[in-house]
Amino acid sequence: MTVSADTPGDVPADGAAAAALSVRGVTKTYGALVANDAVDLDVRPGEILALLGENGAGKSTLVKVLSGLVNPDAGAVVVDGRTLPPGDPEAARAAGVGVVHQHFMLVPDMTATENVALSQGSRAGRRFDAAGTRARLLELSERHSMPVRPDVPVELLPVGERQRIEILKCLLGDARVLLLDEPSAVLSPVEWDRLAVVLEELASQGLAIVLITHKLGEIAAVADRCTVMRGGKVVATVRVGDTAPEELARMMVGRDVVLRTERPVVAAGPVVLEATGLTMAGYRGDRDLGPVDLTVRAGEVLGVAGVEGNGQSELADLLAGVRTPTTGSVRVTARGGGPGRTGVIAEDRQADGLALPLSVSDNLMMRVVGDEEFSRRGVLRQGRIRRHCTERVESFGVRTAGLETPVESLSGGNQQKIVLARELYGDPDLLIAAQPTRGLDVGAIEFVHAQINAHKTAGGATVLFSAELDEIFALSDRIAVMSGGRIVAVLTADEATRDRVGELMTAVNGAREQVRP
Amino acid sequence: MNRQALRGAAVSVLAVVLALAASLLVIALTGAPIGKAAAAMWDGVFGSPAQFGATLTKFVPLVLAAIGWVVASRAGRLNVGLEGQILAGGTTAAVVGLYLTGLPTVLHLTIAVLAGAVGGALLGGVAAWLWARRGVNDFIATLLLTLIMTQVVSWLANGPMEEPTGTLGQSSPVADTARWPVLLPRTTLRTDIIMVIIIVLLAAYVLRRTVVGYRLRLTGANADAARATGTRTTVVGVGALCASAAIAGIAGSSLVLAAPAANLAPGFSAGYGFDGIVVALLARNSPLACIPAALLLAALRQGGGLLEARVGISSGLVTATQAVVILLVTGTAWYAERRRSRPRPPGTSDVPAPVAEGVRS
Repeated sequence: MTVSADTPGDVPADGAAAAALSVRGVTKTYGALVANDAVDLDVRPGEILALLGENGAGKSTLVKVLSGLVNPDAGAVVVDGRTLPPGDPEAARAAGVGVVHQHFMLVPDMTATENVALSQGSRAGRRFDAAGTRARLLELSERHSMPVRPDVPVELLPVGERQRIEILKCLLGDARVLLLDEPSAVLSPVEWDRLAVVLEELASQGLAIVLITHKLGEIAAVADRCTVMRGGKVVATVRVGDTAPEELARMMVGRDVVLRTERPVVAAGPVVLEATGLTMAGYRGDRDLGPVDLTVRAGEVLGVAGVEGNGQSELADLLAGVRTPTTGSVRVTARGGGPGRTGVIAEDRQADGLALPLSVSDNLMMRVVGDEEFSRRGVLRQGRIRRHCTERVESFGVRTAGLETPVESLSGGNQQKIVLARELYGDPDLLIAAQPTRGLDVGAIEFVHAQINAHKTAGGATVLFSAELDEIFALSDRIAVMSGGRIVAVLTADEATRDRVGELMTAVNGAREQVRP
Repeated sequence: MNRQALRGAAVSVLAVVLALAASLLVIALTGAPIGKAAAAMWDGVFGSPAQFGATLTKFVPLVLAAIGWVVASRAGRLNVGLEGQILAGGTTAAVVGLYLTGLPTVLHLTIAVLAGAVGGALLGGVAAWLWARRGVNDFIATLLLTLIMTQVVSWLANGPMEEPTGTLGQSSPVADTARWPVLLPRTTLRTDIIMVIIIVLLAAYVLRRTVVGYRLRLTGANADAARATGTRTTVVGVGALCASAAIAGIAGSSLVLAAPAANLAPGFSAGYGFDGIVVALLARNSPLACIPAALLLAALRQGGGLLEARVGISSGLVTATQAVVILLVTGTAWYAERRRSRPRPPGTSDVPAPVAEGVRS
């Protein structure tokens, strides 16, 4: 079938009455922004519906409306034929809407049992039945083959297990509709595959599942139908089997998108980055980082893959020179010899990469303000600064009202472009790119990837840290896999397969995570 | 940017209007005639050249203290000890004015003012050192040093520096060569106001147009990003605290060298250090906006004096009225700040636009 990206889609749920969850005309505005614009959506029991959309398409707002956290301006949410009172989370829960939020809603120093008991609601004076809750938790855990440890504080558990606790929490609350907001964001590929199996099984038992995501691959793997949102509106609802990923991407973004960028092949030059014996004591509690040895050559992109929290952030900081290693050294050599310059795309651009209240111009000048070119005897050379910033803004396509606009009023994509425009100025020898596309939409991601490839073609060395395996594979010549604070393997792009990298990512953690209930 | 600045100014003006209305309400509640009270207020500020001169005399330390606050807070440091630094600067200026004699006016006065700056900077430097090297919170350090300084001045004025008769609890006047010349005859206004205006303009220029000012603003806006891109944020923080304290010290020197009594007396700082913070808040941390804001606060202080004398409203009530003004001003500034930086509703981090991400209004 053909689906136009501009007309709302046309795969009806087989009779609205049969739907476990129906959304009718939900509209929610924040000031001038229409976050949800007359959104309709249906999920039937036993079905997995993917809700696809870019950041800002209105997915999260819709989830909040469904879970009763946000009161919509118009429209209704119907569960099993009954309309929910708007803006009442307790009623939504009682009606059987279970939500697994992207950021888990667990009390870190409580055990799984306690967290589950907490979610069961409480009545003053009612006794807390720990043994009963624990028994029911374990029974469900076994039935759905979702192993969890009931008696360990959840902060000590791996994210995958915490996610399983969240799901079990919903099931124990007799959820009939399960909403999962970007569930794969915190998982390794192997963990995601396991979760996908669980979701399919839950669906086969009659649960209606809504999977919120912006990753096309996940949809193809598990979803039956897919509702695409853009700019707060539902663009289309399609059967996943009938629709090519390119088609979905086009509907999501509103234009043609290059899903795969061609990786340029550049002859590797001299060694630019040489890190030897890097360690950092106690990078996360009692875990030590390293020792890490790394070499990256000119014209080469080294991708560092790993499940979040295995030392990648810390290694990126060490390589960028933001933190000092306990032992070991980082040497950056310019391509022509001598000490090299490093550009850094910070993992958290708002915390470490930008001064949000300051202007676009001020943010572009951070590294070079003291240079002869831009200041003389301590006085800023206004004209040159203006010309420089205008050139940077134009060549990186930053959309801003002007150079004096505070950076905090720009979108995430434009903020990241400012970071790139600053850090790639003057062709640094080494680029440390930590999660360079986190939180960006497809168009901005395309741009960032193109810039990294351009830096490489120009003969720069790059270390790319990313939680997105697709990104690592698309850009890297070699792939280093981190686990437990160490680099467990370095593979060439030819040797590396998703399965192999996924296995290595969980090599250390995975062993720890094995639980026999 | 301009629209935002305009809105900020509007908010500040609104705060002042509300504050004045609230004051009149308080006065009305006491049963005093409002018309008479308002007239007294007005006369207190503009009634005669002497009154107006007195208003401008109060303006001098207020605007300096406010600039001191602006310099520190733009770098992300909270120098609430301006009051103590005023005391320190006034003391060193008095020492130079009293004991270093036999110099021509130009030289003596210059040295005395510089001594005031150094005195303030030394006290601020102690707090800066504690902050940079010992991790002591700058807010706490500057505040506690103020308490110490208050006692030190009291002791000096009643002991080592007391005038020869030993009965007045204050020092002798400083040498004539260390006093600011009178600007308006038959008023208390002296020529230090010209220096003050130059300092304000200089602060505005340094913050906006120099590398040092840039690094200071950058450090205040995001110290982590500043550090990561090559700004030595500790140096900036220490420098900003010391510069802030030096400016407060100059305010202290004026309170001695431009005062009619021109001597060291306990409590000569008279709360200017704290009121300066209010001025800076009202001016939304803009050096140039500190001028109208300080004028306003000076007028309230001056007008309040006559209110007490003429309408017979008790001094306690006048102080309470001023407190209302300050609360409303800071409250409104806080409200405006909150409005500006309130996080956007979740799920709207990227405004969907048909072409690409654009600017948010």
